[in-house]
Amino acid sequence: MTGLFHFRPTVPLAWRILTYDKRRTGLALIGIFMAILLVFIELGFFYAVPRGGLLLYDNMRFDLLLASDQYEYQAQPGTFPLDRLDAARRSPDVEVATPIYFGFAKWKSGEDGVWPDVFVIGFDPASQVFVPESINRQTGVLERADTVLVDSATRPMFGPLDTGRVVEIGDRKITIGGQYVLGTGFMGLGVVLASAANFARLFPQRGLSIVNLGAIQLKPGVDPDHAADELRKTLGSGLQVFTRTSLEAHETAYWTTRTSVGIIFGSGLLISFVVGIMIVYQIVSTQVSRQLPQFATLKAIGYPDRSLAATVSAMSLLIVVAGFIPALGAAVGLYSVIRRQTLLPVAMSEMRLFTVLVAAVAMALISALLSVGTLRRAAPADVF
Amino acid sequence: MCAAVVAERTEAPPAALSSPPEPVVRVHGLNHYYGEGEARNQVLFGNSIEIPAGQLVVMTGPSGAGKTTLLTLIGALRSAHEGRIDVLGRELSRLSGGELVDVRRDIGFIFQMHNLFDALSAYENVKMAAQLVNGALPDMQQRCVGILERLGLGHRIEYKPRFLSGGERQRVAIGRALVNQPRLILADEPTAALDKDSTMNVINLLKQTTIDYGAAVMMVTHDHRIIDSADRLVHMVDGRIMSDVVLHDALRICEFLRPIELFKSLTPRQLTDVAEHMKKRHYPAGETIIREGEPGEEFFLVSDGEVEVIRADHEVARLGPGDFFGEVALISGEPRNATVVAEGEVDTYVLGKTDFQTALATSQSFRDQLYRVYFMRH
Repeated sequence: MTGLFHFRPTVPLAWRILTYDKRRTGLALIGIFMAILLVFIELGFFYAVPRGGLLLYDNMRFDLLLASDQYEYQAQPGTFPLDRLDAARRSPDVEVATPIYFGFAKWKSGEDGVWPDVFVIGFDPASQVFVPESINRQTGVLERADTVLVDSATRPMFGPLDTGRVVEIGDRKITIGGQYVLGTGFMGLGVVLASAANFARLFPQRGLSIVNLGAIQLKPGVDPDHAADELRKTLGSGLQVFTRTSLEAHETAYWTTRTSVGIIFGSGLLISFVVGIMIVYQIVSTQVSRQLPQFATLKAIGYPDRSLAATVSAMSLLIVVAGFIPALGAAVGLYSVIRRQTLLPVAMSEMRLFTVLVAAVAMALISALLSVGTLRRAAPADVF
Repeated sequence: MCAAVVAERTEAPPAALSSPPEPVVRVHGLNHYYGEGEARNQVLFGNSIEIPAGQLVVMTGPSGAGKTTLLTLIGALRSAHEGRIDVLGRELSRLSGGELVDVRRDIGFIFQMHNLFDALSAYENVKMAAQLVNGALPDMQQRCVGILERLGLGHRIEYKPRFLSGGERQRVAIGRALVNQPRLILADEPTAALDKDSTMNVINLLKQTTIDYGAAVMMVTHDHRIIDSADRLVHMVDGRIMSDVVLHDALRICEFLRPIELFKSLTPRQLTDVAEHMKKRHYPAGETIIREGEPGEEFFLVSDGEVEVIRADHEVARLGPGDFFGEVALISGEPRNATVVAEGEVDTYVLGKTDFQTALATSQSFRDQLYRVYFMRH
């Protein structure tokens, strides 16, 4: 007799036990459906939060990003002197180095008289540092004095974003020159792009000699890691040099571990996972407990423990797979709703699907492992 | 009824005397305990028993006598603490966990509770056992259907347990135990939930398995309807086998003893007591059963075959079925006055010296008869 032979009844028996008690199994499916859906949602948020932080950078052209060593994220970027960026520009590896300015100002033309904060990004329009075509085709507009472009995702509380509307930002009258499509991410509820000159007008006390970021494009063929190392040596302390990879790692780490947002969704993810395990465990162990004499009988007549453990595992896996499929469909729908409502880049990807599937299988296996403990109580000697 | 209680308290017979087929179950000196430390409680006390193929053994005894414990130990469901258990030629204490599972696969278990899966049909419940034995699918299906039909459940094959009566469920469980034609069947109150007809159906089937393929059946029951069908009765009290009766031998011994002048004066009860202590023993051709000049320890009754009585190198008599010998030395306390040799294959029933003298003391008339025989032979 082969080992495989003894597993012959595993799936059919598990299936029959589950489908026999339809009410109980139906409740289990609803429970595991909700748990897996929650995992999808929490995971969606968990990964969307850093993506939200990276939204601006994903739409910028650079190979390296120069930032203060005080840099946390876009809204807390820290500053450094422009001449440090000029020093970087002199490096033989660097093709272009563009200063980026960030600032918050009061938008004094909100709906119903509210003054929300607006995030202002200043840059040289000629640098073509941004990717979206909706920005690059309006560089001429940006060059106009006291004119800005408004992110199309800016919230309605900022009032109409019509081109030509004059609004008050800080203490200046500013004309909305047009809109661009990028997304506000975690920069704020409203974002505007301004030329460096207009930025200086909006923040006269600051000037342009202090920058927040430096977007560096390298010469063709230069290895970003090598160039970053060289710049770190050249520029010395007080600055961080990010490659795109290290920037993504920094943003992900920041948003998932150092902010309440990441912690909330991360712990939500963990709780959903644990709840899923407990639901499956509860259902499977209840079924095993109810049929303990039957399982003890199978042990007595010659089924090895591993075969019965496989039956319990099959029960867990069947429940989880049956819950996973509708949860996937529901998650795709909910992601769409979340994207619309929160503007977070929550989307179903193959990796996301695979990750949740692995998590669901892990739920099944862990709950099966716990349920096997219940199965151990099936003592064949006690059935006599 | 004379045949009711013929005991055969089995000690393993001397190997030199015979070579009977390997018993299906051999238990020797079995002690078992529950609990540990101060709470340790001995539940089995030095039990020994052998069960050959083809025997339906019924175990009786009060609750707590150790019947079920003995059954679980023989069924490799527990590990024995002291003593030795051989099942189907394998010594259980020497086997690994996996090997014990293999042994259990060769045993048919019938439990008091049917323990059927509610989610499975009668056929599928039986199939759970059938598929433990490798084989072609059509053959397995045929075996499942066949056993259910033999149990009178041909019309209920696709029914789930909740649509079956208590008796039908138990018959499905019995089908599960018998579907692989196990060489050993262990049953605990298998007919407790059955009506008279179902009981007889089940017992006839179990009996048939002992005949058809020589299965040994060991059954705990209090059902007297079954006892009538048993080949052997084992009675346990307080963890000990108090009597172990092969009913076929019992009848035969009583038939032999009753016409013998020596035993005529015994009441049926006294006759039964004598028979109760007789053990069956086989001798191959040419084997010396007793030797002249040796001390007398046993009384012999010839069951089958013929023996030659030799005194001073001369044959003085030939004895056949129903004849007895060996009593003189037991009465007089003197050495054997003759040698007795098996002429061919010989089966005897043997009574030990102590039991013989106990019987002697039981009845004054028996003693008188014996002394008369003694003086006639001298």
